Amino acid sequence: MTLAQVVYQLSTDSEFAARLQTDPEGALAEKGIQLSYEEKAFLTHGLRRSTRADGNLISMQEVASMYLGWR
Amino acid sequence: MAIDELESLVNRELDLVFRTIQSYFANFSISPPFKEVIWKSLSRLSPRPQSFSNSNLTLLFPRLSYQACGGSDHFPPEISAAWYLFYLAADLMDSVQDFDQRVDLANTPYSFSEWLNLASSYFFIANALLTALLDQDYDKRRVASVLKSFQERLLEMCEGQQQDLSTQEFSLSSYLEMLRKKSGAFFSLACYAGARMATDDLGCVKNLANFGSHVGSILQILDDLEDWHRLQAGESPLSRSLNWYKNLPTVYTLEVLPDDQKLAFRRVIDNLAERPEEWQSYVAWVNQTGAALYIMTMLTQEAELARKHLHNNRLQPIAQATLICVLNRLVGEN
Repeated sequence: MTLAQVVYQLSTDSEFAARLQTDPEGALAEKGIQLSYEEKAFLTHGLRRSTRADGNLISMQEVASMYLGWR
Repeated sequence: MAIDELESLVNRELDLVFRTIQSYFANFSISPPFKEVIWKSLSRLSPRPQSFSNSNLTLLFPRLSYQACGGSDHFPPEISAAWYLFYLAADLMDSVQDFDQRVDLANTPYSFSEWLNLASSYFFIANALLTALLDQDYDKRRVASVLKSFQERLLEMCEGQQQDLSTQEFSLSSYLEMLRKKSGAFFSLACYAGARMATDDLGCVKNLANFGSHVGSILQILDDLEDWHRLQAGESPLSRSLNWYKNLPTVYTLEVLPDDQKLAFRRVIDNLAERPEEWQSYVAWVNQTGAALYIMTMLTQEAELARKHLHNNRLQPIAQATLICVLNRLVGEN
């Protein structure tokens, strides 16, 4: 399973997302997902930067605003 | 390093780039009126001091890469000048081909066709700057490597652009590959050229080139986000000839959606051009699939891989730290 598909699972399956927070290895194994050490690190970091204080994921509009005027 | 220090480095580099172009320009056997047209167009495209943006920081890549690889004080400014001219030319051509409003081409004294002709002129001036290095007191083998690299990487960039223009719908992997060719090759070149002029240590040169490649991918992702900036600012999707199939959030969403939902999502995209109210529906689809998390993960991945290539204890520490600082600013991790 690719990183993109894991992100999709995480965004559409709240049980999986919750378990990933507490038991990442178990959650991934249960879904038969194999990610490299590096991929897990990228995802964890990406998740940290994409999670609001209320625990919800940020939207595309918010991501776009973060990089407003880069060019 | 603080942003004002980086900004001051960029302004100094830009000033040197213009002086270098001007000194070569004086000896070109083209008519004074055409020289004036080229010069005015260049000035129009160049960043103004009051409108500094993070993308201007990439102008530092050739010199910083040169310094990171232990180059002396005699960095050839022709490398930065040539790369900058290629950058402007590529940006111009991209804008014209995409009917993009990134460069405000419509409100200028030149037609789109004239802008394409000016972009071609920049290519030839850049080439003249680079070949002139062969007559100066630089290592000829290094200059030859740099010249070859300019030709190869720019052709790779053209290949990426060709894929972009000729493909209607990308898979996620082919889209990322196209980004790497279009932009990765170009920023890789900026770093390679500076590094190669400094050293024959090809391991260090490769590290810098790979760093540039990942930065290029980041910039291409940020370019896709820029389309969102404009729409959020109130620009109607109708007013732009954007192809929403060629945007990372869309490509990602089409990749991960189950087949039975892809059709409905495609219908929304197809309607965007004529029914602006579909924009909200489009946004709901990409948000529901986690496109924002995917983009943040990709930015993290490219930034981490870029940093990894600078973890080389043979690199000069100050230039190495400045390159990391530029990268951090680009990805908002400063």
